Amino acid sequence: MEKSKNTLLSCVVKSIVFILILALLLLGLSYMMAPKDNTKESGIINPNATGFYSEPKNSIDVVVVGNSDAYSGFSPMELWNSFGYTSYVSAEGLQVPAGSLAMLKRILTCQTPKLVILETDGMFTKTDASQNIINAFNSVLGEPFSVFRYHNRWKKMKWKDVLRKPYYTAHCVTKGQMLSNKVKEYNGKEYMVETDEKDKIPPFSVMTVDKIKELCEENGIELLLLEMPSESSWNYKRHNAVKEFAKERDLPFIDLNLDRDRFDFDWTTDSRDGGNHLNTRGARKVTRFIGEYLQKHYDLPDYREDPAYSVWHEDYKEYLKQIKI
Amino acid sequence: MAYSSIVYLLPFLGAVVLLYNGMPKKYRWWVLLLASYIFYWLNSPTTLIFLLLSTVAVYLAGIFLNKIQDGFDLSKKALDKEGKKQLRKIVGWQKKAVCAFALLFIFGLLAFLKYYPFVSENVNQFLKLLHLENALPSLKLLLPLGISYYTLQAAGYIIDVYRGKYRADMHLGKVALFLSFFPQIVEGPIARFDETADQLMEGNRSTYQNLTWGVQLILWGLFKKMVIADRANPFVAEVFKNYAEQSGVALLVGGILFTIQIYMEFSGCMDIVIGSAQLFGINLPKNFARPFFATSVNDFWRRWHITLGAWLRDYIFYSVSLSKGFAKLSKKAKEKLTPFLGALIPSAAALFCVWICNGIWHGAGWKYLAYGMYYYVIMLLGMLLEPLFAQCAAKLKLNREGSAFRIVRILRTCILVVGGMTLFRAETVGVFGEIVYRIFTNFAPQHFYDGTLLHMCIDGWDFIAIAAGCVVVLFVSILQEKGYSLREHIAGQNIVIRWSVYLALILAVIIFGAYGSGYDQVAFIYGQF
Amino acid sequence: MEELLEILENLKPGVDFPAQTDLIEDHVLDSMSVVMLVGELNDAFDIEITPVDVVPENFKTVDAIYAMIQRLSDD
Repeated sequence: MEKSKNTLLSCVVKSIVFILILALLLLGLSYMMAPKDNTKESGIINPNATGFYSEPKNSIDVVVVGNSDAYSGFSPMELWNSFGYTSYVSAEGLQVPAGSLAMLKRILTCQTPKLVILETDGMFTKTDASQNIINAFNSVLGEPFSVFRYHNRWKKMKWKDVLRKPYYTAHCVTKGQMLSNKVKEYNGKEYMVETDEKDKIPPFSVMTVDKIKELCEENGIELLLLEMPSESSWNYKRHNAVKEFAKERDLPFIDLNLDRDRFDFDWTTDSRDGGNHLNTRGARKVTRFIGEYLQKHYDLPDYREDPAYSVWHEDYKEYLKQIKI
Repeated sequence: MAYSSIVYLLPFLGAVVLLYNGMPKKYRWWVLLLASYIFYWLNSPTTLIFLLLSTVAVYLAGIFLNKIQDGFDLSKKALDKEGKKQLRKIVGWQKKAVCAFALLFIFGLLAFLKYYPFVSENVNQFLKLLHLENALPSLKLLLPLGISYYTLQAAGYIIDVYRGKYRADMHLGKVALFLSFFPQIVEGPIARFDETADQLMEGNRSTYQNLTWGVQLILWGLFKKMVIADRANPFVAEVFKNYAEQSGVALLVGGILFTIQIYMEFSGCMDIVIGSAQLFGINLPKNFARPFFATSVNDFWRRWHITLGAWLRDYIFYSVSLSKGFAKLSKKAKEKLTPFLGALIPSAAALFCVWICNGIWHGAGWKYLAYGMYYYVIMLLGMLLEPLFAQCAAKLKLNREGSAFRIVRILRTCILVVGGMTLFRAETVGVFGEIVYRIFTNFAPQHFYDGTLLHMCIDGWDFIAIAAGCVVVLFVSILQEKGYSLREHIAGQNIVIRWSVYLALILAVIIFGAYGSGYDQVAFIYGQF
Repeated sequence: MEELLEILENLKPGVDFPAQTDLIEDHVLDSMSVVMLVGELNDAFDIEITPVDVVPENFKTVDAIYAMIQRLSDD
């Protein structure tokens, strides 16, 4: 190659053009490989969490994000029945704040929630540098470049799916809650022992939750920090850390691990796995308590008399059959 | 920070390239040295001290050797022939002492940190038989990153200086960079000071060619690791973990897939490593040359982990076989036995040393020793039976160089290598024995077509992807074997073809890579030595 | 030179040594042949070939080997 061909300018231009072409190809592939429905069979990741796509547009007022503690402990059906608020739990196992942020952005493409509840122990999940880079990328460009998430579908894709427009048909009766009627008690010692020490929230988590707050403010959404009762993933040190974090940002924070008598919580009946996640009984108690808090502090509409939301009553009947309590 | 991780490939390499080129030429090596120590610190902070100790030890030993040599050169002018001879002898001993001390130090560190647990466990077990309980304390030792690699590089350097191949370098930074250079530190290749150190210090700017070729090579390595090696891993892990429940067919397929996995991963890693160095205009020695085209096990080991084989050859094999003691032994053997055996004995003995070293270099365990001996026995038998084979071939009028026979030899070598790799992957020699036994007694050929193999952690599509990947690599390998540089050929094409190939490779890694939900990150196999 | 060729012929009969352009790269001489060759050369020419001398450049062609022998005889 002659020297003239490789001036710094031409090299930089060539590199930029190459990257642009690559980006375009990836966008195209993302469109082709993304699942075109949100049912389990369609290949979507976490069908329970993404059921909001098939809810009527702008019908969900409260959105809950976080990890498995959230989808085990929050019950949209209970909230509906007792207060008439519409909510959805878009939580995923081991979801970190970056994942919550990415999920929120997806929700905002078809819903206009008034309140976001963030379950906080995901903030303490340790991730390494590579994971942080990947998470950061996913939370910013994860949707248009979904090929990175769905590339494994090359095995299962059908040709008719490739150019179809997405049409979401899944119907999640529990609105994202994972039901479990199992009872496995926790009868160990009290884990919320008062102390002045503070656990350290990883800086990347702090940054991401701040981004979530920013996103909510831009869209006129309230943000509430919440921690579900969980013996295995929570302690007083973490409580102190998040309490300070919330105070610095003027955010409300409810820690359901303290004063558990307020909602009759009982570790011998309310957990499905001995102290980590709640079962349907625990979820009902916790959600009713949260509902009372929301009633006091937020101005959420009650849709129980609204005929447009009659499906929710049907769903509640179905939910009752499944919880058997 | 694995070489295939995002944080290495984008921010780390990117930052080093930018900083390197941003510096004036004479300071560029500083960037590489700093980057290497930072890399080391990020991966294994507590053991950095050992790398530094070995570096200083070898550097100082080199300085001493220089001083001794200079002293000799100065003094010998004033002496007569007899005096010179005497002085040469004394100097010889001095040099030997310095070199020996340095080698003892660096190999002592390696031996202790790597082999103490194995040795102490076995010694304690032996002492138990004599009713002497746990004489040696069991210590939990951290293995420094890359110690098996940089120790060999350091040893090579000081032995070369001792042998007078070149003078020791006065520049501590040069020696330090040579031993710590971040692309090589984890898995090699094991470089030679006179080939690599100057390049490291040159400070050549990253040209467009360096950058594009380096990136292409890295991409190619990623393709091999992520599309082929990582995809095979779940099957291999399952089969070797629960070997007692597997059919012979599954175990055989497991052995073959592991051989594919380790080749794709190790050679892919080498591509990433050599590509990384190429970004800075530095050419590291190659470590692979189409090993599965080898016609014999000897040939295989000239094509697989080439730098390790070359190191063992130059510093162990030749040292032992060309030593005076062995020359005498060989003479005696020639007189007492046949000339053939006389010539064979030093080679065979030296080869034995090489394979013991090769075996235990890979790990502290009986299995690794057995691995070395497996290949030694095969090679020894080959050497001993060579005249017999030649006679048979002559009688049967077989052309051993012909292409038909060549294919037979390649297949035979592949089978022997798969056997060796299965031993390497099995947890113990006993497990290996059981696996071999099961292959022969519990073959269950119906599993080939009744779909059982498609439900063991990977499915039919995975096998197709692995096969397709292998076909691509095979195609490229055949071209390389014929001396054809595919990279140059593509670079000579017009921009549409060039970019189509590169984009296709990138997209292949993104779409067919075994990452994401459902896949665990696979650690580099050769990074644990 | 004749002596050298004779030794090489004995080591590997049937190979046209003068015509070979790269005995090492073409694998005509592998490590073990080199060791045997070195033994023979040391005896025949009363020289001492050390590991430092055992590099591809010195064993590439018959001429290269001969040059090495000359060099070591003069030392």
